[in-house]
Amino acid sequence: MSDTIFSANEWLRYSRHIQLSSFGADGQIKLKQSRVLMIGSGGLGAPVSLYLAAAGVGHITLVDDDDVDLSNLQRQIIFSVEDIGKSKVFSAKKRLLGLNPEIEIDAINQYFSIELALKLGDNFDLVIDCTDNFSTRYLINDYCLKNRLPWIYASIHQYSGQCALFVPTNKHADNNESNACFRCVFPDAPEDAQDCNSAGVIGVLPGMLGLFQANEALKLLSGLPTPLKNHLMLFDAKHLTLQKITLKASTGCLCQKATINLEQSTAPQVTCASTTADNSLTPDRFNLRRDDDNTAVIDVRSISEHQGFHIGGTHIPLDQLGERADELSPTVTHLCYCQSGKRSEKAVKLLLEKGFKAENLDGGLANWLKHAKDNNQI
Amino acid sequence: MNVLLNAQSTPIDSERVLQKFLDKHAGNGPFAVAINEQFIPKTDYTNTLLNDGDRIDVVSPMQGG
Ligand SMILES: [Zn+2]
Repeated sequence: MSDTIFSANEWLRYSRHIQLSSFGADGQIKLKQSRVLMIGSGGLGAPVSLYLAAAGVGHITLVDDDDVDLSNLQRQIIFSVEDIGKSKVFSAKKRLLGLNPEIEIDAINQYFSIELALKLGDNFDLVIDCTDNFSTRYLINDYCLKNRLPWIYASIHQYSGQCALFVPTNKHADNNESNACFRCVFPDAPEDAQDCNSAGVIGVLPGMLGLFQANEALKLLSGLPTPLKNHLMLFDAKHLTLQKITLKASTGCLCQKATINLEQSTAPQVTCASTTADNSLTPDRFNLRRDDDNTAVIDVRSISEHQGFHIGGTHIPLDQLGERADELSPTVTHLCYCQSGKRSEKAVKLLLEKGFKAENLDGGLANWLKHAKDNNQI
Repeated sequence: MNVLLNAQSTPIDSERVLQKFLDKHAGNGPFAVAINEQFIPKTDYTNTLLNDGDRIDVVSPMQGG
């Protein structure tokens, strides 16, 4: 009994894979011997890690420095209410080992930086990108080029998502294959990226894209064909369309260079925080300012958002603010708020241009609520 | 002559060169382009010609996760 690769419990646990045609015991052994690096334990990371752990991937390393927030639970189904405020990777590790104690999980509660990338080395079979920002994606790309590791990219926005399997070309191989890398496809990141919070995303979307990633991962690790290799998949959850674009390497791209210097890996800087200006208010400052006699609060969101939830003030949607400015007092300071701080920033700019005094609740209602929750005010 | 730009029928007159077509129709910001589901690297925009009925996809990068 003791000379077998699997225990009796594992053999029983994985029987649906073992009985699966062209997967079988071979595929399951390969999964058990696989090492996967997962960067990001959020919307994509939740379904990917749950399914890889359930499937019996032997070693999973989770990297994320974020804590669980109530607003994550709309889609990050690996977490529970009791995890709020706790580290994502430690909470995820506990949940994954609860699901499958036969595997090993390394939880690294850090941001994926150049230093960490160098420290992690190349002892992985696959990297899965579950991050939520461009700069980390460029670093993952360069890290995987340098260490010649395959990686599965996915990203989501509102109702649509993208997914690709990038396999760095072995420059010493005999064939003339030249696969694209992420930089070939997107050499530049947008300077003004879709504002991360206010853009929103339908909760099932990271689940769908994450399962495309997990599906490709399990096939790659178990030796099955991976048609996503060197392809970019585009998925639209609203119109239910799926497209697959064949990629090709771009002349002059980093991936064509003989050596990759990770220390010099850079990406266009993209930040999600709205710009802090003199007229921006922290939640604490907003709460103090609104009690002043010479201030008035304006909610510049849509009518349905205002009806859904508000923290007081006059409701004037941003698109009506210009024409309804005559309703406003020219003497008081108008404290504007919206959901994420972007629309109210525009409102403040507009009011200042019209000669009013105005200040902005930085990070919007989302930030205000998070702050209130952290301080047990709600 | 017409092409399908992100599933919308779009007439093209003189701008048969992909770069010119993109200048006119694609707007600002980084994007990836595919013709008939084949990715076209940026360096090939000026030497790629469009044909009647081509399906052109202009894809913006997204960063959510
Ligand atoms: Zn490249």
